Amino acid sequence: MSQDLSIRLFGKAFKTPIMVASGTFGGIYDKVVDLNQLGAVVLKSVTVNPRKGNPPPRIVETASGTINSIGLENPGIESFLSDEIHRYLAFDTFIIISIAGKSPEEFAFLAKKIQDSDIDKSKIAAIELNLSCPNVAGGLDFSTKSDLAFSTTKSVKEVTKIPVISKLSPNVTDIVVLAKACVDAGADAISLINTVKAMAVDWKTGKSLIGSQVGGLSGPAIKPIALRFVYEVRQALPAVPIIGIGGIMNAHDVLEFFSVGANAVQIGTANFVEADITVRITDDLRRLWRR
Amino acid sequence: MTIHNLPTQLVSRIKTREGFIITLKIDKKIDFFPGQFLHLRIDSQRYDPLLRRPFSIWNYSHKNSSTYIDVLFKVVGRGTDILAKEDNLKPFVMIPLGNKFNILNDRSNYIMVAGGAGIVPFYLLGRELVKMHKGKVTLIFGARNSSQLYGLEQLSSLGLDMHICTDDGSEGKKGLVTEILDELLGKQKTDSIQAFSCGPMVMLKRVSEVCNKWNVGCQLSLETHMGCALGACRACIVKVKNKDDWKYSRVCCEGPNYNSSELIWE
Ligand SMILES: Cc1cc2nc3c(=O)[nH]c(=O)nc-3n(C[C@H](O)[C@H](O)[C@H](O)COP(=O)(O)OP(=O)(O)OC[C@H]3O[C@@H](n4cnc5c(N)ncnc54)[C@H](O)[C@@H]3O)c2cc1C
Ligand SMILES: Cc1cc2nc3c(=O)[nH]c(=O)nc-3n(C[C@H](O)[C@H](O)[C@H](O)COP(=O)(O)O)c2cc1C
Ligand code: FES
Repeated sequence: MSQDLSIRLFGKAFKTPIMVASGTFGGIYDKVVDLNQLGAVVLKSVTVNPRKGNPPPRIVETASGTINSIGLENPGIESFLSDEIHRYLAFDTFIIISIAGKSPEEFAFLAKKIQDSDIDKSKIAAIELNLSCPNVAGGLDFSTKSDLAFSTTKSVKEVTKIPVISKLSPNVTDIVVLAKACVDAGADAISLINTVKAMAVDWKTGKSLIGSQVGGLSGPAIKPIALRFVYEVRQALPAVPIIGIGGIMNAHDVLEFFSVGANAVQIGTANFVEADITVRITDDLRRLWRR
Repeated sequence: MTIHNLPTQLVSRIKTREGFIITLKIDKKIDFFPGQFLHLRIDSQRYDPLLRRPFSIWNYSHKNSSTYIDVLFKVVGRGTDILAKEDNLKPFVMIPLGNKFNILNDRSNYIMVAGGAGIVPFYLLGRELVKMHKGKVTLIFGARNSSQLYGLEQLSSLGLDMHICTDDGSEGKKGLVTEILDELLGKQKTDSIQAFSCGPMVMLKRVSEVCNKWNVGCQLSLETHMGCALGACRACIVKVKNKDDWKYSRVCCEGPNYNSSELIWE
């Protein structure tokens, strides 16, 4: 009856292929959701120093989606490792730590901090490189420059034994060039997509509905875009593990991502709609997935 | 405390002035503190509108093993419009959310200041304060016009000392809640008073200035746009003091109720 959903990715056994996406889970979600049922929890991207983030409004609803511009608000790596992460280490679920730097050196610094910390590494399935956050000024443009994606992935691989996932932005002309650069640099997996650069305005005031003017679109509206990107990367790179992200709301969406080549998925905005949606999707997937 | 995400049955909808009170039945006994809110998925049968909507708890009661939650709202945009007119909705609620009003027990007089739909948290709070039997509980309730004095009929049975005003004078005194507040505070010993306020940001700012002037502590119930309502996305933030600096605080889980002295006004 209960179909086994376990998968292997870069040598690790995941209970299910369903993960929650960075920035959309955390806080007090563990009061509503049984984290033990998830394949992995990807935490909010962490940076070298604490960040206060962008001015409000930070989220606006659009047709079948939302635009957000949080601006990477986070407590910084020190506080993250000494405090925040411990809330998740208590569960029997893999953690994926998302990091965001302004340079390849910063990414490597963050990865080394994690590697050298005394947290139980067996709980950390991977480090995900946020190569794409469109909401932060002052950083290099990792999202479009394949040489930067390469050097960043490589410099992180050099300082840690933890598997590395390079997370890509959809705001590019040719995703394959970027995915290849990351794989050549040693990435253990590719995850995609991050949010799509977007805007919403109020014509009565003539002003943007987002404090930092532009933000990132997520939710069902971007699923077709994400499917196309996953498909292209899979065509070009038959072997690399791919984690599909973008607009997943139900088990059918998950299976669509599998159909175009994803090995696992991350669920983001849907967590805002139903906090325990990942658990519901997991249950449905048990019924629907024919391996 | 556990947070529940539960299906509800929309059992009734009545009009209150230009607003609505809907009653949602859930098959579980849940209690709320005054000041808490819920996150409502308007209709679980569709993904459009996508995000949930936050609403205060107007009132609630238990019957057998069920809870009946009353939500009072005004129509703002698409979500509230659907809630106001469509039948056969299957809403979900996430409850209970947010902190409660921090009632100071050493006070003998309480003043609640509400603007428009900002009245909602004060039904439960007013009832609670009256139940404590501790001197006078005052409500100053203002709106643009009489059609926005939501829930006024229901409030009159609570035994509050009520002061009503409207911008256009169509009901109660013509003028602003802050004028009445200033006048009332000027007439009494203020160290025995605690104030509470909810309404538009500009009004809250003025209320906290008036309270400052008379040295009265005031708690403000804030509204910001939310994503998750569970402290994860950091969409719902407001600026608060942080030693010599400031930081953003998440209204959904560190609020929605703040001491006015904590906030930084822009
Ligand atoms: C803690 C809290 C308690 C609230 N309690 C009540 C209440 O008891 N009664 C009541 O009438 N209203 C209340 N509000 C405001 C209510 O959430 C908004 O009026 C409602 O979300 C508007 O939805 P809409 O689809 O009709 O409007 P739209 O403008 O179409 O909504 C678009 C988006 O903006 C958000 N939004 C718009 N206005 C607000 C607002 N003022 N606050 C937060 N988000 C907003 C919506 O949630 C949605 O995500 C409360 C807000 C908060 C944060
Ligand atoms: C509010 C919000 C915050 C996010 N923060 C991050 C982040 O810190 N790091 C990151 O890599 N992606 C972040 N994302 C992107 C998501 O992880 C995901 O890639 C994107 O939302 C697409 O998936 P979805 O359509 O399922 O939401 C964020 C998304 C949202 C909506
Ligand atoms: S709404 Fe997500 S943190 Fe408050």
